[in-house]
Amino acid sequence: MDALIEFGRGPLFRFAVAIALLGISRHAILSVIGFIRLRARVGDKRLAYGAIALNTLRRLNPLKYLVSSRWYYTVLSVAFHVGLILVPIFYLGHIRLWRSGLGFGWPALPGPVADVLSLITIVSAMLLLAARAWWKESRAISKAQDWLLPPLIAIAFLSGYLLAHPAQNPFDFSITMFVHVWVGDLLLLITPFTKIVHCTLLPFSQLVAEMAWRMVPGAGRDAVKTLGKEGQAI
Amino acid sequence: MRPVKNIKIKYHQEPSPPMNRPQKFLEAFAAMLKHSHYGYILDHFARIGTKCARCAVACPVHEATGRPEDIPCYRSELLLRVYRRHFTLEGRLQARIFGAPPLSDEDIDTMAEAFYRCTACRRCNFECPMGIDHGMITHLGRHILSEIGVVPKALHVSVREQLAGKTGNTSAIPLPALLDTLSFLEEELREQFNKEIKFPVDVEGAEYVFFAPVSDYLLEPDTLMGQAAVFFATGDSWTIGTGNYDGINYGLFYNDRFLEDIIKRELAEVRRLKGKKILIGECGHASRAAKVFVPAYGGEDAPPVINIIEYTCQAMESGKVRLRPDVIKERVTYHDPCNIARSGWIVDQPRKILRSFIKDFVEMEPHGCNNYCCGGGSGTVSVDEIRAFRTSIGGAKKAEQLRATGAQYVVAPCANCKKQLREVIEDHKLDMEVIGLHDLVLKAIAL
Repeated sequence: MDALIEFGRGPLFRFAVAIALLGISRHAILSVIGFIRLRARVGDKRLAYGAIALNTLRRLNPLKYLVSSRWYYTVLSVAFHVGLILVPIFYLGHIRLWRSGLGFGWPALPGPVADVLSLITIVSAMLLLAARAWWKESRAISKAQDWLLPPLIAIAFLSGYLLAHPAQNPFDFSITMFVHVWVGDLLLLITPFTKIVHCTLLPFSQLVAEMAWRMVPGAGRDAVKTLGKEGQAI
Repeated sequence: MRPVKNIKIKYHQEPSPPMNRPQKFLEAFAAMLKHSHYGYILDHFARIGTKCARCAVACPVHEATGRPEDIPCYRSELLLRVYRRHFTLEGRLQARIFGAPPLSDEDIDTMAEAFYRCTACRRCNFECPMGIDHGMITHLGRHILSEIGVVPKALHVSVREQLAGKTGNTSAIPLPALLDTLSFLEEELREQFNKEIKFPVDVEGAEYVFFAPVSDYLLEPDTLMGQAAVFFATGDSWTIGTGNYDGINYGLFYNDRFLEDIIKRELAEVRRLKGKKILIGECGHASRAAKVFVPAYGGEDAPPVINIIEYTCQAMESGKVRLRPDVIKERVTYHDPCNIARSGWIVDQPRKILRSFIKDFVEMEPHGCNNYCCGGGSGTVSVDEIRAFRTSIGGAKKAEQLRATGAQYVVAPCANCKKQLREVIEDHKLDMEVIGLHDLVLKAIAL
């Protein structure tokens, strides 16, 4: 078990971080390159970058979604994401791990704050899952990853919380550590390939949406030529 | 709103030669991804969706039926799934490993219905935290379907007449009939105002070249006369071109190459007449098509595009147009056509005009950018065989909104919205009248 944990904290962790960083960087770089290439081809090249940036910030503002009839989803989603983003990066134990790999660290969250954020993330993940199951609209459009990701994240956080509070941990330390390390690595590994990738793509969304109706002149006709239907009557 | 019994839609289509539809669909999809801008957009949307279903609360069709199939995200997924499965490395690998089924005829039938249940009103855009434009996905889905012959006959026949027919317009109005109509309208204006108010034709160098939705020349004389009266008051030069007098662009609803061809015909007419600006009449989609796609297809010297409501509002604010506040005593409400309101382009201007002379003006809730579609958007209003769906499902929310206002007049500055709202009012037995904004201007203008 110890060997597996060490493997998970060492080579596997480094590999998972590399995959996650390379994967999300690839998406970000492709988004930028794709945009530059597309802008060169579209007919209308005028873009109000300031307005797009402002719109991006507006869309990220959770208060905007509180007026919707699904306000509870907004509350849960925000609660879920705050801990999800902050704890893996700013929990003291994780910073030590980062420091051992990267050679440098950064200030940590106070322990009680990290604890509260972890608990909020665990509870909100389970409530989000319950909401997905309860609300028939969400249920109908859910795919496997929509069901699997919240419990996986909750397991990673719960095991982490228990490791930080051994007195409250009913499970064996090694098993808890194994679960925490391997589920964490798994989440990193699948980041570029699942919807978690929205962590890097979301800032591009309004730019992409702005390009959604920027037609390339002649595209429809060129497509018809490719299909060998040129000259056919309407 | 109580759920309404679902109505399956089936539209008339022109006969197509026998073909392997899934294969042809994929070929058309691949060709569009190769030549158009859609690949970049779809790739982003295909990866970023979190399936939160928030869009469900914004869609009037889903609100009416409660069916999961009417959730915007569900519908978009029909096309995104095909994109992932056939056009991404991960999708092809997954399909090889897990044996995902290929595209089937049944999938195409499902898309053929789903993409015409959606009116592409894009209200759901506001709700999507990820910024997915479901209206654009509907648009692309319709384009690909049309390349394999799946398109409502009503839309296809209109576009054929406009681009390849004798009359060159969607209502098949021959030029002599148009000129007769204009003479008749001028006579009516003379009787009403005792002034020589003209519909100028083929004036070279005019400031504004006017494109009404051509059906207005058949159905909306008061709208046209109100617009002519505004120009009489301002004294600006404007003209209707005899080479092309139809602002309608059904290409926007189902095929990009027709969309482009129709825009280019408009541009050609403006250049023939050496006009300076394109002026679009009371029509939502014609206005949006010109506003968004004239710069896309018109090159760097593309003329500016103005909507008649913008023009009238400016004229009123500059004091050139005066509207008498004692004429309209009835309660009036305003319907925002999605194509001009969703982006926030034309929301305040009609309200400024109406509030200036209507004493009893009431709003529908919600309104403006967040309005509800009339239920006949994106050309579905032309498909008569789906009227029951349009009015009892697509227009259910609008009927509820209209009823709540208690208005006698609902102003709808869009040819398609007018037709749809008249049918909604008839089918829901509402006691009100649909009217154009310039119909009221005509009643109140002081000349």
